[in-house]
Amino acid sequence: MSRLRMVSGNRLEDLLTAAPGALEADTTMRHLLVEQLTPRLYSLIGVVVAGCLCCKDLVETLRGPLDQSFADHAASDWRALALTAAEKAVLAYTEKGTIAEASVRRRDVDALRVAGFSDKDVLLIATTVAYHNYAIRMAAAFDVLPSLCA
Amino acid sequence: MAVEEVARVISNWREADLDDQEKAMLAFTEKFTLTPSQITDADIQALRQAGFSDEQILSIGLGAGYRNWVDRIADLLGVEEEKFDFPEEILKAFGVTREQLQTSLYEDPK
Repeated sequence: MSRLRMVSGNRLEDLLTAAPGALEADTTMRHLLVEQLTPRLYSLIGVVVAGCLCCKDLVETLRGPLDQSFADHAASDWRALALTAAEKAVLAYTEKGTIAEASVRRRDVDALRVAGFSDKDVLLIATTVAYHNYAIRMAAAFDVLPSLCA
Repeated sequence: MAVEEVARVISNWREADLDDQEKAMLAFTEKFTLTPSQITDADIQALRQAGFSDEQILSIGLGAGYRNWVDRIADLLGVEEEKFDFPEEILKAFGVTREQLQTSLYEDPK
């Protein structure tokens, strides 16, 4: 149950229903990111953001197509997992973009390009990192579960 | 709000000339941004005691969430959110130079 009295459900969608236009904007953005980025990468980013923000209780909801044990491990220590070089580049960017965003420099974006991502991909990745930073904070603050992957 | 006051809020909002309700809102915003997992019922109750309705508390959360989203995109891509000629006091409060603000990480260097 949410911490706000006028919200009866326990999901971010229930919370956003109480703010005109917010649910529609959130849903549109989330579907666009999942569709264009792939559900696996979208979920990996979400799980790592949750780990960085000490919100590991939200990993089960955020994991999407990822195996639960794999997702828990990614939230705790993604560097120890068998990931592709491209995924590791994305998660390094995700981690820095969550806990030290003001220190992101051109070399961090270049690392994504070297890993094979286009500039459009970089835009999608940055937007996904930022989206999860918003959604997970909302979920933690108001004691609701984040939205499902799709 | 005068430029000097905005700079004071950025540098140390606790010492700025704000009323109790504004300070309650900023205390929540700070916790929401830095340690969201530590927010408890007591933090929501503190906002209610400061005079905010639950609808307003949701708006505060959405406002803080939106800034965490948009400011992060700006940081991650090194782009300006909008063309705005920030006064020197604001740049100093943020600890950045004008040149840093105007350098995009996303586009190739010119």
